[in-house]
Amino acid sequence: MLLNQLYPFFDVSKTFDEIDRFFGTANRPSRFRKVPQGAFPTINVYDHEDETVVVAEIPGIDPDVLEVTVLRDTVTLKGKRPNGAEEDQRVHRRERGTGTFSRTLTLPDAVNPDTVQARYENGILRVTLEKAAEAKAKKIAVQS
Amino acid sequence: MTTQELTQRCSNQGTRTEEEHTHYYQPATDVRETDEEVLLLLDMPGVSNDHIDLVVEKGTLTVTGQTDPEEQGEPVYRETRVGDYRRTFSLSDDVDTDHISAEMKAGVLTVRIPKPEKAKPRRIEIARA
Repeated sequence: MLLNQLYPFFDVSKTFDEIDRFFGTANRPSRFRKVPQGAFPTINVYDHEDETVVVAEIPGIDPDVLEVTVLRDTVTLKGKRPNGAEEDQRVHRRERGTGTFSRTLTLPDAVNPDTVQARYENGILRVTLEKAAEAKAKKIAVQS
Repeated sequence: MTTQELTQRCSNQGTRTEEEHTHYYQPATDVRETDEEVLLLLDMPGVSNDHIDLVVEKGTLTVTGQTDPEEQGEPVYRETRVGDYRRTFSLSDDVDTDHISAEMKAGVLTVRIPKPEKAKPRRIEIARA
């Protein structure tokens, strides 16, 4: 990279680290670096002892057009966001995305596809997936 | 508003700590216009109807949305942080602030700002000779 040749100490990721340090956000997951550009919906995954919870931010859709499929340890979210502006409307600013989306996510553990629960509320999809029997942690009694 | 006042206000709201309240996320917004009104659409996932706050002060509209607390459990993969939303908009002087209305649906807030009568387009008849 030319910039590196001109300024050997110029390093974008280091600069971001410095910014994080300055604002006290170091070691926190960050919105603008982890997410590939345009990835929609943004997804967080939370681990519980017996279940995995996938939380996706999908504002402004009809839950009927949302499709959630589970295969072993992958979850796929598919859907379409309405096109938005009507004909008699002039658009001054458009930051919200529209159109179809599809994202597939690999979970840390295999899940039981029969007990998956999905709930859409306030623009957030929350999928609760029970871990498959073989993925659940088992306590082993120690004999003495 | 000074930072001190802001912190004061935030800490009065109780439930959340000061540190959390100094971070706001800017919701993605569409601005559209029809002959009758200006429409703002704000993506605020995780904000319920009762946790929206719209304030008009000195020609500025401030929209604040408080999200539900983050999911419990250990985060193993994260693309977004959970937090409250805030965005401000400048209004033109002749906007009728009493008739601004807002509706929250599926995490999208629609704000309707009606245009004053004199700002609406009027058809001019052409006199025939």
